[in-house]
Amino acid sequence: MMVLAPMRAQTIVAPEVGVKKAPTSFAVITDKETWNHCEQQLREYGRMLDEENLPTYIVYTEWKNPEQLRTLLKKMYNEKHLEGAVFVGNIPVPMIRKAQHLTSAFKMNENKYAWRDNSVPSDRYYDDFDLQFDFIRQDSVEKQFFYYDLGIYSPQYITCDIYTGRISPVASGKDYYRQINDYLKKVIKEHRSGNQLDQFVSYTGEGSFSNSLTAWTPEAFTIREQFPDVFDQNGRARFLRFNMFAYPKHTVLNTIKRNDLDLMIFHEHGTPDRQYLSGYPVTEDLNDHIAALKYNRRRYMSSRLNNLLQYHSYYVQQAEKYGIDSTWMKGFDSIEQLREDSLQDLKTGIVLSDVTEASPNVRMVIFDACYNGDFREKDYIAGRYIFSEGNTVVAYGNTVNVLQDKMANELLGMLGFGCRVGQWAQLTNILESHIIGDPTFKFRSNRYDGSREEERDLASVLSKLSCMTKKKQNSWALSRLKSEYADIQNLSMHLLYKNRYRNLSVLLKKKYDESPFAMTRYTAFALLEKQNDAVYCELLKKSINDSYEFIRRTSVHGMTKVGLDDYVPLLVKEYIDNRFSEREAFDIEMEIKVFGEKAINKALNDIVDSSYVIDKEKIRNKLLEQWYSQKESNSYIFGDKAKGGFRKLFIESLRNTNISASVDEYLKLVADEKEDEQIRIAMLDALAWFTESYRRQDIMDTCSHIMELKSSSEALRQQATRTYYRIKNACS
Amino acid sequence: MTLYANSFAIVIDNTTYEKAFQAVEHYRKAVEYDGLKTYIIKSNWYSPQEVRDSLIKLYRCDNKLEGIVLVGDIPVAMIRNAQHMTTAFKMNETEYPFQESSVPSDRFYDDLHLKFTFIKQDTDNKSWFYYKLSEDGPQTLKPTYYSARIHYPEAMGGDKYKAIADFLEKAARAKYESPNQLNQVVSYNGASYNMDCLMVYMDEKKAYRENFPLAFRSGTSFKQLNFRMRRPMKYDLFSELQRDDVDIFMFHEHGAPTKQLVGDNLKGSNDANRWKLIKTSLYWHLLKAEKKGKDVDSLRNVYMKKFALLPNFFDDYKDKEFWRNDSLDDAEMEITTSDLKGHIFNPRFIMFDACYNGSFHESDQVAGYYIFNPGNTLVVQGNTRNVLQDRWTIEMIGLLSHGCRVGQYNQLVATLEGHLIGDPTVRFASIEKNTLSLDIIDKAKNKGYWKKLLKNKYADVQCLALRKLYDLDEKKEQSAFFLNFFRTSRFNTVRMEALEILSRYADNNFKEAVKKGLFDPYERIARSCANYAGEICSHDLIPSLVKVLFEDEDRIRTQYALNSSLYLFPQTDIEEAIKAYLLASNRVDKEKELTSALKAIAKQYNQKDEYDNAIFDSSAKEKLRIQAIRFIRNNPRTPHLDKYLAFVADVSNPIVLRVAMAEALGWFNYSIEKGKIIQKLSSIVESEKEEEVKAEVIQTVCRLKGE
Repeated sequence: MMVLAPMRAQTIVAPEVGVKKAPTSFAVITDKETWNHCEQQLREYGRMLDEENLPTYIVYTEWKNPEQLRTLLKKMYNEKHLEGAVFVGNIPVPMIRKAQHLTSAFKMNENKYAWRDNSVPSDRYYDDFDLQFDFIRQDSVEKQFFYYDLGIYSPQYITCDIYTGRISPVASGKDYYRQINDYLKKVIKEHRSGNQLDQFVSYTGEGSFSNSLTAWTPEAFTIREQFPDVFDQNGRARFLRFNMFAYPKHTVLNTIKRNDLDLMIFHEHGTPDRQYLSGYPVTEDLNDHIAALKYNRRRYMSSRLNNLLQYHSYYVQQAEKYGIDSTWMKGFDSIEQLREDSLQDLKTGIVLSDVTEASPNVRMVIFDACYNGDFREKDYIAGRYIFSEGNTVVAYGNTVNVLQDKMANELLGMLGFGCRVGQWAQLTNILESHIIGDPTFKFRSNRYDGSREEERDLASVLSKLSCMTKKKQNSWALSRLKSEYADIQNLSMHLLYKNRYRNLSVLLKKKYDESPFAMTRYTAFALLEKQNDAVYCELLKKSINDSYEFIRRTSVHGMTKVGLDDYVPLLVKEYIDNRFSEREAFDIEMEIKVFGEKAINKALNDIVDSSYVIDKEKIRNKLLEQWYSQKESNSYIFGDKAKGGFRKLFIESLRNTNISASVDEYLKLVADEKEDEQIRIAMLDALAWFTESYRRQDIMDTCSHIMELKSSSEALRQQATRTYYRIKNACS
Repeated sequence: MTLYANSFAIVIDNTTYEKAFQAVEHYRKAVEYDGLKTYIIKSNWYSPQEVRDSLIKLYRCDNKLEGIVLVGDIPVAMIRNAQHMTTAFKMNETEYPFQESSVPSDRFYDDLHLKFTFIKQDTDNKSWFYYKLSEDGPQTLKPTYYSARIHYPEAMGGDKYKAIADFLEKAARAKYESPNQLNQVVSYNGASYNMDCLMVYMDEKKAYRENFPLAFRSGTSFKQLNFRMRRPMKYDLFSELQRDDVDIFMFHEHGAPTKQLVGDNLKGSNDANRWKLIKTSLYWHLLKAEKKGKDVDSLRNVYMKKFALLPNFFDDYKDKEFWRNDSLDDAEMEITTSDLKGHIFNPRFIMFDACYNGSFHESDQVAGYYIFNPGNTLVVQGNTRNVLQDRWTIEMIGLLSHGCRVGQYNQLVATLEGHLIGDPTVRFASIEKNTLSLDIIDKAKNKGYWKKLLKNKYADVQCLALRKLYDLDEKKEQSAFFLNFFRTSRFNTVRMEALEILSRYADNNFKEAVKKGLFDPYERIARSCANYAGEICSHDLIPSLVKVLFEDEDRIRTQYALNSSLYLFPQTDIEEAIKAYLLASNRVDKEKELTSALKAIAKQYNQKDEYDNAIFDSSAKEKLRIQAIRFIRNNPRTPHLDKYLAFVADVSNPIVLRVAMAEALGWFNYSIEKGKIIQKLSSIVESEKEEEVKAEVIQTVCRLKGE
């Protein structure tokens, strides 16, 4: 192995095999201390990848800041066809700000909370070279954190140029470097095992997507489209749900321990140190009801141990409301009782020590959950999985909270064709999603005897494709649009999208119209949403009636983002006809307020009256009541109630609920020079989220006007500029 | 002149015919328009035998008769000594009244190869006639043609003849409507059905997608409803039943003749409903005390002290609103016939996969309300007795997507208690043009044709082909062929059909299928295999059984079946297998799990053994001994066979017990020792002097031989 001379203070260990033979290369990025402790294993790991025809550079240094690394990665990308990198040990963490729109749901107030909490740790800084960032500062305490704003003129969408992963040890008590060495050893073993992905388990925790059964069942079918024939002969796909058991934890722990299990996906709620599996079990007899109520009351009280005043008012409130005395809260301040209660609580979730104790063997875990992949913390769930004694080698999780209505399974079938985990994640990443562990990990293709190379070894095909011209990539993609495999078709669409293939919307629409595969229709739909054009707006009218619940749910969301009143009758009809599809119904109730009053009234008259449901009034009243919150919201922004903190709060809420019907009033407020400037800025910021709204051009026009207006303050103009480019650059 | 491929018969009583003459004729013409030559057989029917004789006569002249409908007041055959032809009904025929312990069944009319002996006419209900299935006749159902009932539930009130005429007119009108493809389906899973197992719910959809290929093309064309979705579901169900585009509506639920149990008891899932439940529970106790004239105040004080309550907890006790809501909660869990009155139902075909909902012989019954209303519902499927929850109720239902008539489908899944109420000739336009509906009769003997259909792209067509090939395998030599199909088919329903066929062979190939099927991706198959495994009782099934027991915890209903199956094997074998499995596993707290598993198993075996021992304890009461013997029917323990056989042979045992045991042995039809039972019982027949014992033994031998 050759050691190159230090390049700008980094030392690069070049791969052993000729780089020329391989289309792409890979980089192991580590710090000097880790190199000193783990050199042998790092070299072994590099050699193994060399053998897989992925020549691997190992780079180590004392990293000063993320920019240093980003520059290097870019250079390697340009000069050495770098396809991915893994960050081992202590690598600076970019903490991204003013980019919450690139997350699926994270919306913490950046002015109010601590920067450590309201920034998003994201390696998109390293793997998406088009994004532009403005450095703000380094954290004064946690020196590895570097804060950046997303640049005003930056593209406002993510397309990763390379893939990345983090191997960042946990605080389990085991030596930091031993964790890395042991981890690398098992990675090497797993790479060489030739294991195929044919055992899959999905777990859905309590509270995920409104506990909708209609949202739960489709995965059994979509996963079969993505891995055709795999789970119906020798393989198995299982679907666990929180309410199958009083306490699902035991079953889940046994599941992650299964040595034959290849992939597990958790749809659940989470924090860095916990997976929330279930709630307090359903109670069926008097004593159990009482025990549950007492438990809940003790938990409530014990969380307020420092506030005696609250005790008293709580006692009084409980006595008046329920007719119970203080005995029902007894023990909230007793150590024994609290210990007992926390044991009860532990039965409903997986905490850090549970993972280490279980030593999971499932090779790959996806946490479709908040925070489980939060590597900014010294200890975090995903890290515990990969650094355990078991055979788990890679996890995919989020550093902040994540939208429940996000598609977690897109393109997953690529893994069944031998694609590297990183190559898969690269196509679907959002700001908060990260690979924890080795991003080069891959399963042996389930179609290793397939007729086409992408079926036998998708990793190699993708590596080769990444070095081709766009034209050649497109021609490959076009030829695979009719592949018999859903996810090969989907991959092709993604490539065409990435390359801005001409007339893409028409092609995607055709694919949507013709495909029998739910997942293919979904990909066509999702890419069209990114196109955000007239074809998409029209498609929503059809996709709201798709047989796949997730497409319908996403269409509901899409309609409320676009905000055209034409959609209202369709939404009302969907609300009635698919009222058992709980998550859709929930989303419609929450978002119906974005539309105009006339449209609502007309739809309620026409659609509800002519529907087959017995209780028409109940439906009418519910929707009207929900719609009415538009008035309520606007009254806090413009009306009598428009004062103090609430005003700002309601303006901020527009970031989630883009009330297109009121854009005229919002723009008037923005343009009103007599208005409080902070309010105008807040409104401009909120309007930056109206990227799909049919009124977006009007918003941009107003922003342009303010940008040019000399009377505007610098702060106002800056926000107007940011909003302008947020909308303009939102679409590729 | 129209050439009809097949024919159909309307069997009607003279009065109904006279009163509904026009409607009957319209219906006849409409059925003919739909391609079936239609006879009308009318008379002043006195007994079922009279009706059966007429049908036998007709069938002799016209073996293209594919179905019949019994309109008006047609006598009811109440069948006895044939509980093995039901899916679950096992009422003691000696102990319970004839009216309850017999099975009202039109198999008397549509299965002409069965043999019956007349017992008596009911004294209260003159239209009920009791028949016994003959011991020496066939013991399996094989309906000659299909049948349905159009019988008005008198409790609905009004003019029954007009109601029948109205129904026939709507059935007739429907025949002239433009072709309607089967593309709108609703399935409803009621509470406590199949233990509310969510995998049952999820995996049923796998079958539905094969059954109804056209129903998965939009967001509302297939609805899989579940009692959990709303509280209450009752009114939403009425709304869905009012939709005029629904082709099939399936109720998977518990039921009674006049009730559908659709909802669940309120459970404590959050603070609010836990409060409600506590309040209701304590208030009820007070109310009970008050009704008994006890001191309510002192009881209230006891509760206040015991549960740390304040006086205002009892504020609502005298509140009428509280009590009204409480009774409303109860009423919302079920649909009763009084709820059904006045409603309109539109799904063309409705299935009641429930006990008793199809009790056409009763004056008040759920099924009748669904067809006798101005809506578009034309035919319903229901049971006259209780029905097994684990029955594969949707077997071949997908044939309706391919132009087969509802009657034809029902004929293929016949049970003693399963009936159609309404027009059995209803059919939907086929997905693709085919002659399947005619070929069922025309090409019944054409092996080549059915073999070719095994390659058809639709699952249900393949299922039908498999069944037809099974029918043609007269020597019963082809189980290897079906096993191969079971192993290789990617269709869930086809594998299930192959398994069902293999169960009729009950040979080594069946056992191999069960071994593999325990792990099948389709829960339905795994559940059946879990049940079969114990009944087969082959030692080499044990490791698979134990593996599934620990690894497939999500399949709650399968777990239930496994737990019943375990005890049919020798105790030590099960214990050893569990030990071996757990010790080799990496499960959490496996030692603890092993200890508790062994303890639970030992307890269960002890209980079952205790029960079993009572059979052989001559000092025990006869009633208990009979009960214990009858228990074997659901728990056929092969390891105990020698004892059971010796018991039948032992002439010193009371005759009634020997008969009961001989009958119980008929439930060992899947046992690996079945051959031994047949042999032993056949030798008993030769020497047996007691006629009653002999008859029962003969019947059991016939049953075990699958005759």
